[in-house]
Formats: sequence, C-alpha cells, structure tokens
Amino acid sequence: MKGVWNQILKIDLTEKKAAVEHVPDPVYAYFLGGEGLAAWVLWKECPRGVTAFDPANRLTLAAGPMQGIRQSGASKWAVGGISPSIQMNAGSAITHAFGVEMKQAGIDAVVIHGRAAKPVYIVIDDDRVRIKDASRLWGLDAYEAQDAIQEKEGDGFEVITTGQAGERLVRYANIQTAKKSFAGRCGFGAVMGSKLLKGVAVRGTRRCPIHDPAGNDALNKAINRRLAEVDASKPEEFRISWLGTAMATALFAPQGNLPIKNYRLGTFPEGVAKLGGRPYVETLNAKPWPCKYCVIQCHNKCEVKSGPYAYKGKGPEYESFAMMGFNLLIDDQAAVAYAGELANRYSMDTISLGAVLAWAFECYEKGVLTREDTYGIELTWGNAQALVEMTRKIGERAPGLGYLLGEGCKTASERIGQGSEDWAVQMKGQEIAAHNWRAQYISALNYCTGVASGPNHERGNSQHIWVGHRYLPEWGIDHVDNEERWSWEKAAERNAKFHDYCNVINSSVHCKFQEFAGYTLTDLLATINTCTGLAWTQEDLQRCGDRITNLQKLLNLRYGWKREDDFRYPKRFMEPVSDGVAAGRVPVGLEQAIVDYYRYRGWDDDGRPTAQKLSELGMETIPG
Amino acid sequence: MRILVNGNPEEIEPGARLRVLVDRLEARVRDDPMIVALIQKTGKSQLLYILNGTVVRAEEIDRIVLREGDDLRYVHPFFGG
Repeated sequence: MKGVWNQILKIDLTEKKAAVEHVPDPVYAYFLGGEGLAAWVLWKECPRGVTAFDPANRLTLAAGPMQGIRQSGASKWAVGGISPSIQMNAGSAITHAFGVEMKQAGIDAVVIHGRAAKPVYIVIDDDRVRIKDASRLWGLDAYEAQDAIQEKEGDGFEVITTGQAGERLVRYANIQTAKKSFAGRCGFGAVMGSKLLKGVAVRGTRRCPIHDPAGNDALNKAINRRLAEVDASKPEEFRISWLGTAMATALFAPQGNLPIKNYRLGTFPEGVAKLGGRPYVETLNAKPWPCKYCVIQCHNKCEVKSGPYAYKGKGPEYESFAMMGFNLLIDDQAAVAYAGELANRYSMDTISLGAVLAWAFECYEKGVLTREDTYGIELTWGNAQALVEMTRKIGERAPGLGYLLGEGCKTASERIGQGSEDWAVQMKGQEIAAHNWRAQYISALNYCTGVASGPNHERGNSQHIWVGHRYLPEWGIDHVDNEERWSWEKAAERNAKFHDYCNVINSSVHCKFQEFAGYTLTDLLATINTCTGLAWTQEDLQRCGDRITNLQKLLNLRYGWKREDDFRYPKRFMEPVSDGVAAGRVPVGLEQAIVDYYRYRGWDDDGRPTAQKLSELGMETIPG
Repeated sequence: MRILVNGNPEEIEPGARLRVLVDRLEARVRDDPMIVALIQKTGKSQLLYILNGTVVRAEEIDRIVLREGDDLRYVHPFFGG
C-alpha cells in the first residue's frame, strides 16, 4: 500500500533502545493510521491489567496516509495509549507539523514504552535516534522546554513537550507542539510524565511515495482553493480565518448549547456579549496563526498589551473560553485567555480544568469547601482572579485542593463527598465538554457511548448536526429538522455514523475543522484513494470507521469497561434548566437510546461486539 | 431533471435556475434557530453554495441555469469547536 512506510519506530525508555518494526499492509487497510494505528498497537502489545502510568503503557505518536501531502488539514496527527483519566484506551488529535516531520523521517509512528531512570527527551533525526538527558528541562513549562530543545538541537526539528502538569501527573495533562496545538482531553502529558519523558524532537528529509501524485496534487489544489474561497465568501464575522472557533458563542447561545455555571443555567447574556465574536478579536488583538498547509487558519495568536492579564501567545478556542468562562460565569475575555495560556504552559486540558473548577466553585457555594480549603481564594462565580490563581495551584499540584483537583472531579468528589458527586459533570473519570446535552439529546448519547476517548465531543461530534449544521450526506445523514434535536428517532444511527466518521478522520489523519469550510466525505475519500491506491468506495470508508470503532470497543473491554459505565451519566444530565431555548429539556429515554445504539452497531445488549459483527468486519482475528 | 444536492439526487424542472433550488433549500432551514439568529443579525441565512466545485457568488444565483448532473453543495456559515 502506498502513502505509508509500513514501519514504526519503537523506543524502550527503560532499556534505552530503539528499533524499527515492520507493519504489514492489512493493518493499514483495516485501520488506516493515526488513532486506528495507535489502537492496533495497544491491541498487539498492551495486555489486560496495564494501567496508564505503568511503564508497559504504549504512548503512540502516529501519522496516517495523508501526512506529507499539501492539503489543508493534512498536518494533523494523532496520539494514543491508555488514558490516566479513563484508564482505558484513548486517542487525541493534534496539529501543526510534528506528524508531517515524523512521516518524513521514514516512519508512520513512534511507539514509546518503559520508564527512563532520569528525565529524558528523544531526538529522531531521520534514521538516527538518541535518548538524551532532560534533567535541566524538568520543571520547565511546556513552551520553555520546547525552546530549550530547539535551541540545543538546531533548526528544522518539530518538537512536542509537556509542562509541569505532565511531570506531576495531573490526569488531564496534555502534550503541546509549536506553542499552539495540544493533544488534550485524555491525559497523555501525564503518560509522558510517568515515563520521565519531557519531549520528543523529530526531523526528516524523505517523502513518502503515494499512489497517484499528479491526481493528489490536482485534488489538493482544487480543495485548498475551494476551502479558502468559501471562507473568504463569508461576512467577516463568520470567517474562520478572522475569528476561529470563537465564532461559536453567538450562534450556540440561541440554541442552548453553552455550558453555563456548571451546566445549571441556560443563558448568560453578559458573557455572550463579551466572550467570543468581535470582542475576542479586539480585546485579544487576535491574528490568524495557520498550521502547515492550512488555508482556513482557525488558530489565533493573541496579545493583551496591558493590565493584570497581559500576555502574548495562543488565543483560547471555543472549548477553552466556554469551560473557563461561561461555565464559571466569568465574562472577562482577557482573564480567560490569560488563564488558558497559563494552562497551556503547565500543559492542562482546558475543558477538564474548567469543569473541575466549576465543580469546586459549586462546592464553595454550597459550603462543602471553605476558604480554609481554597488557600483563602474566594471561589465565587464570576471571580476571574480565582480562575487564574487556581489554575496555578492545580498546575503546581499545590498540597491540598490544588493536588486533588489535578485528579479530576470524579476522584475529587469521591474524596470530598458530602453529595458533591451530584455536581461532578464527568463520565468514566473524564469531564464533559462544552456541548450541552439539553440542546441536542444526541450529545448525551455520545458522551455515554464513546469508545475512542471517553465522553469526548470530537470522537463523536454528532452535536454538529444541529449546532454546526454538519451533515454526512454521503453516509445518509443530510438536512435534519431542528425539532429532531430532542428526539431519539434515528439517534442510534446518527451517533454510530459520527463515531465512525471521527475515526476515519482521526486515522487518515485529517482536520475535522476543514468541514466548516465545506470539506466533504467525497474530498476525504478521494484523498485517501490518491494517497493509498486502495480504490475505496464510501461503503469501504464507512466500514473502515466501523472496524476502528469495534477495535476500540474490544480494547475498552480488555481494560475493564463494564456495561454499567455507559449508564453512570452525571446526575446533572437529568436536571433541567429554567431559562433559554432548552428550558425544561432533559434526555429522558437515554437508557433505551444506549441499548438501541448497541443494537444498531450489531453489539449485544451488554454493549459487546457479537461474533457475527466481528465476522462481518473480517475481525475474527486482527491483522498483524 | 436530476441533479445532486450534497451528493444526493434531487429532481428539478429542466432549465430551472439555481434560484429555484436555493429557495427550496432555504425554506427547509427557515425555522432553524441558528438561521433565525443569522437572519435577524445580518438579513440573510448566510448559506453558501458550491456548484461543481466552484463557490457561487450571491449575484450569480439568479443567472445560473442548472444542468442535468450538476453537483451542488451548500455550507452553513457557522464554525465551532
């Protein structure tokens, strides 16, 4: 098969050894690359009983067939392993250029296991692999560590690092690259920390042969031109290149999709007026900050020039200011951006950070936590300074509450008790993202049934059927009426298709945000075919997504998933809000919807893939 | 005559202009709260149309005559994380 190297680099930090291993074609034909390949590595190498911080955990950094082509969105790559937050297999996508560089080094993935005797970083320079001392980097934040590695190793290296939160095993610590993109949600920064791994630098000079270079080149040009033209055709305030994901605020608000006050309110007009939109661009002096080859440019480089929250760097994404702003009733755009960048430097997932703080704020409101617990900080709704100070406490893992919140709100609520489990908005140990299930019930179903990375909004982004009007017409999901957002009819099918869709995107690997400028499944399929020569149809592509989902489910089972885990949703799911368009709406019928989803997938009523289903997918045995 | 809308076949009168189809599609989304909010804010649904891979400018919608097999996509203006 073209578009891949058929080899992965395996690094054992305990033994300080590196070796290249062959991966046969059928593995790629089944699971493509990226998150699919990372799941396959776990299947092959990580038995039952291995936990996230076990040296035997495999941290896989994986490219797919698309890395190396000059298409907007093709600079994405993936991370996989056992997650410290959910203690199961998980995946995360990240962007900029590390994946492209890794591919140019002649490998499809780097698989890291073992634990170093002292802090190290890895340098991959084409075929040459070195494990180097990182003692002097330990304790630096993620950006400082990146600067130090790049200064030491020289130009041309793409680098990933984790900050102090990763070193100190915050369970939602992330991995960063280029001071702008993050493998978030499932705590892979802490997996790096557990291995005493501070960073990885990679540089390569090779170009991976693809099946149809001329066809691919023409396709890339047409797609890039069209995506740029679509974005440029929009009014300024809807241009991705002008605003990025901060566009979401104004349009999520009328749909009841925002998370407000730990999901207890349906509206927050002051926040809507101040967070996102034009105030975002003006307050933060936001400028586009494109990833390699990207024409839509959703990332922003920001600068707050004065005041207590002066900073220069990454601008917050929608999820960040939703969870750290709306969810804490904070409407100070600069404070939220500053705290977000602080979290980035420590390497903390801003969704989980916002959620654990919202849990703590609610504890404070209800007298479960007092000033004695909070270092004297007033955890009152809307207190921007509290957000900033508590971000530091968690990043530093300050003894007491700061440390506890780094464990996530499931563990924190179990330790604190006093009924606080009732307002811990998490599932399976991972905090829920910034899409409100009351605005579209399918979000509740997705959070309950996700197999790729816990309750993850980007591993089954079916909320976009309504909140983004993103459909999958090639797979039978086209225009859907607004009222269906509160219906379970067809929810099983839609949920399954979006899970599979996310899997093919995250395994090819491509950027889901391109779809908002009109990138289609037809584009994706044509690109995969020109890269690989697989000559797939849309049915084949869907089947590939189905295979990856089933492999992830088999891994869930291996690592201890039980049926009841899908049904232990947050109590807040069934608590209505009294304001906004979703007032009074709660996803009654969710339990049956979960079972319907299992059945749609060809799983038994306990949520396990049946032998018949695995046979249909050719997965009686897993290739490789 | 049959054309493709978001990859799915749709019947339309032979010789129809793109405007006919645009009106039909916009009627489907008229009650959507996001579209309502956009119309209130900007006066338009802000749907974008891509015909045979080329973005259609608003002033061309009335002029373009559809042909058998045309491939039309429409994109909502919204983007969010």
